Amino acid sequence: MNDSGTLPSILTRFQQRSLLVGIAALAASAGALYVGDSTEFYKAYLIGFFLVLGLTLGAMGLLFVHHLVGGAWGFIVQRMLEAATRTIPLVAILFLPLVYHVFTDAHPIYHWAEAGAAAHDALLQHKAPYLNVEGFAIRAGVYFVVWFVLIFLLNSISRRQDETGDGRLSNRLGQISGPGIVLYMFTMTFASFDWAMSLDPHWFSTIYGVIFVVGQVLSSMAMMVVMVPLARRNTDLGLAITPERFHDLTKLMFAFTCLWAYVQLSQFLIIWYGNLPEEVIFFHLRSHGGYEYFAIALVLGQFVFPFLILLSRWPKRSMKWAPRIAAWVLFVRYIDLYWYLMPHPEPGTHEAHLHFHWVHVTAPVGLLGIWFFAFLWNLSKRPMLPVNDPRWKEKLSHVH
Amino acid sequence: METTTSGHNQAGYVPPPDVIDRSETYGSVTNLIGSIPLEPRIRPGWITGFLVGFALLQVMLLSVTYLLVHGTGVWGLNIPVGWGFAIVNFVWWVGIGHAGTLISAILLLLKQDWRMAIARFSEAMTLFAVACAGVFPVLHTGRPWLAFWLLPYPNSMQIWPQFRSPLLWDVFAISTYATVSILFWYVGLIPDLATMRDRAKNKLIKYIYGTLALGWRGSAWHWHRYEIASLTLAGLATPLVVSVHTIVSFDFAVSVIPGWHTTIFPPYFVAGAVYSGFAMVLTLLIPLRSYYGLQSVVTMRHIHNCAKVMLATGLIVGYGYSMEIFIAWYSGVEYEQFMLITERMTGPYALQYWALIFCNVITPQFLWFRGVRENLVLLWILTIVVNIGMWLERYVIVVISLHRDYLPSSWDMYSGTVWDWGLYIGTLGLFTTLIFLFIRVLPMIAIFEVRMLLPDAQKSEEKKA
Repeated sequence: MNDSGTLPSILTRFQQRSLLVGIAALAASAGALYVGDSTEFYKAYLIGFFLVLGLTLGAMGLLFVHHLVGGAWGFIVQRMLEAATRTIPLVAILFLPLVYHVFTDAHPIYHWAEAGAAAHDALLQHKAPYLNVEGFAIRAGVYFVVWFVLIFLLNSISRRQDETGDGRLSNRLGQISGPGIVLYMFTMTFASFDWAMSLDPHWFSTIYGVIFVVGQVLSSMAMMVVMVPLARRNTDLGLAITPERFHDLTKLMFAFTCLWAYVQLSQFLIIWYGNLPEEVIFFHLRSHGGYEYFAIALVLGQFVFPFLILLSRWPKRSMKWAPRIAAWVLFVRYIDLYWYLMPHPEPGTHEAHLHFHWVHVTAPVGLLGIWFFAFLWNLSKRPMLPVNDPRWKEKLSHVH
Repeated sequence: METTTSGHNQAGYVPPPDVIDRSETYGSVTNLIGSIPLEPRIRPGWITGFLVGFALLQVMLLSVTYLLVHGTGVWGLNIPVGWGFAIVNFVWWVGIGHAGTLISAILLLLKQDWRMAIARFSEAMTLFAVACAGVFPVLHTGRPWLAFWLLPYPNSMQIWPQFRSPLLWDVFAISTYATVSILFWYVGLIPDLATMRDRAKNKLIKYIYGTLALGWRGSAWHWHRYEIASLTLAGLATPLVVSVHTIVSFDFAVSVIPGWHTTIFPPYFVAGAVYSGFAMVLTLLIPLRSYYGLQSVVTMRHIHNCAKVMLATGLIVGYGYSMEIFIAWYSGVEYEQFMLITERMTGPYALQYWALIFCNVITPQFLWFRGVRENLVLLWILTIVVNIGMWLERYVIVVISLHRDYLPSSWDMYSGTVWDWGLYIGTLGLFTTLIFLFIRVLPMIAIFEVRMLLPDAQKSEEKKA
């Protein structure tokens, strides 16, 4: 317990490198902005932003679930999840360039934000009370305030409990988690409408917010599976992590993989079968012009491969292989977001064409690099296990 | 009100209530549950309940007979509302069934020990609910004696069902669901049937239980195979929890009818199904546990957890409604706005719509409070309100979307006739009758599973490890 608060050396090295890589990649990306590829830059930036937002809010969602159900798996990853949520100030700062972009750019990636865009577009006029730059900024402010408050509560109560060992605080964590999930669902749903769905302001889908939330939770779970074997060296975690508990984590990752496929299939099947032009355009754009390869890669990479591999018992229990699969799942999150956010019809047509720009890689890498630095920095500040939680003490007396 | 916690622990943490009364022993648990089917006397409460159910079952008999003699014209169906009570009731009953499968399959995989005491009962409820559900589409075909046409089989006319229709997927989904549920339930019953065989005094009863127990002797091999079988069945049943109501939602969502065609339908239908299922579990369990004195086995933990699942799924349903409304406006599609906002909220069925919102969205908010979850009378009323709400939800979805066709000249109103109500109430009778028969002839709680929860069993488990 004495070495609590120190990161294993492998993570310390990773922390420094991720900061360097992050800064270098962001600097390179800024170059794209400088030479005038503002659309490419901001779309790539948006992908990166959704990746770090997902790792942050997904962790918050998992913490709520953990405090509500209280399985042993949750205590293993609780501190890592908390560290991930505490990056929220950074995530909020990283959002500011998008606000700046929407307010100042003559041709923002959100078509509705363009001056005069609604003049000849009856649908945009109809949506103007919602889709306008002031509303965009105000709502973003509200979302971040809600997330700040929830994350502050989760972390400060947990910290106080660590210091005092007060068992009532464990109950308190459970009490805030129910409303927390509700707030998370609603804020993230509307955030996904504002920041992602409105990229095509004519298109709509009621399951869209759920898809984003599931993606976030999946990415956080996958990151935990990657992190646990790395973080267990020379910390308390090494003793607490049994094959059974690790198995529980990978089972949850497997479940979220299935859930991801389920919500995606729900959206696809209903829109494809109904075949209404205003809806099916979404899949039309994403299954032509080069994006069909992304679609296939997504089906195979985000569902078929992980599903078939994780169906067996041994990869789920292998601390060598499960993290690799999880790392792959995290990588495919990038393909997923690329496929969701990037396709845009050529002016005057209903066709999109894949055109790759190096900033599509550097911007997400840059954001992720900085985020990982902040995450690992947070992680090094607190003990690796909530050892003073009475619920955890109770778990220790059981086998699983 | 009952004591709900096993006391504060040293640091002030209030743990959830115990999953079983710690004073119970192997013998007392076996006696408590096993004696109910074997007791020779007929309890007045049981016979009253059974007779009420049986009387309602006669209403069903009458309604079906009248329907078969006169045809589906006796129902309130018209053009454009070609799907009325039959589909509403079908979806309602299938939904109710979902709790059993969720409890027995998903909670098994999640190692939730509170599942053990209520799984058997909920699974039985699932089977009976599916039986009630199955009545409606078959009768709705109009000529139920030709219902086998729904199945793909090589016939001389070379006619095949329409594989691209979700209604056909329903046929497969529901029949698979019924099959797996029966298997799962029966496999889970085997060790207890053997217990009943060993406890029965009457030769004939002993023989019947013995036959059903398939020669179970409780050897290590038997248990080993039993564990594998039940895990496999749980794995098979888990996707079914989701798939059945997903396909039911496709019946609506793949069409292009405003109010039906929306992508949130699959998860929100599944959540709604679990919501009504848990409500029905509580509706039945709360009176049963006090009538048979099962409070030490079906504890406040079970009540709390069922209520919490209701709250969670009720919130998901509420989320679904709000997405529908927001996106109807946001889409800018006039048909969507007309159907989901104007017609539902202010149209001729506005009363049903607002009643639905009250029952399904407002009511479950009370479950946030521990006091409500612990007040059994209030909770019981609440579960009934929720089940009415879930019925209204399907009514709103089916009837409101159909009664306004694209052409105003095709508009019409719909209401169920006495025969619609008769058949619906009749299936409630079928359900009640089957439930009462079940609790009289089979142990309604898995004796051998509940034994595993006893403090002694827990200790030996830990020693083994």
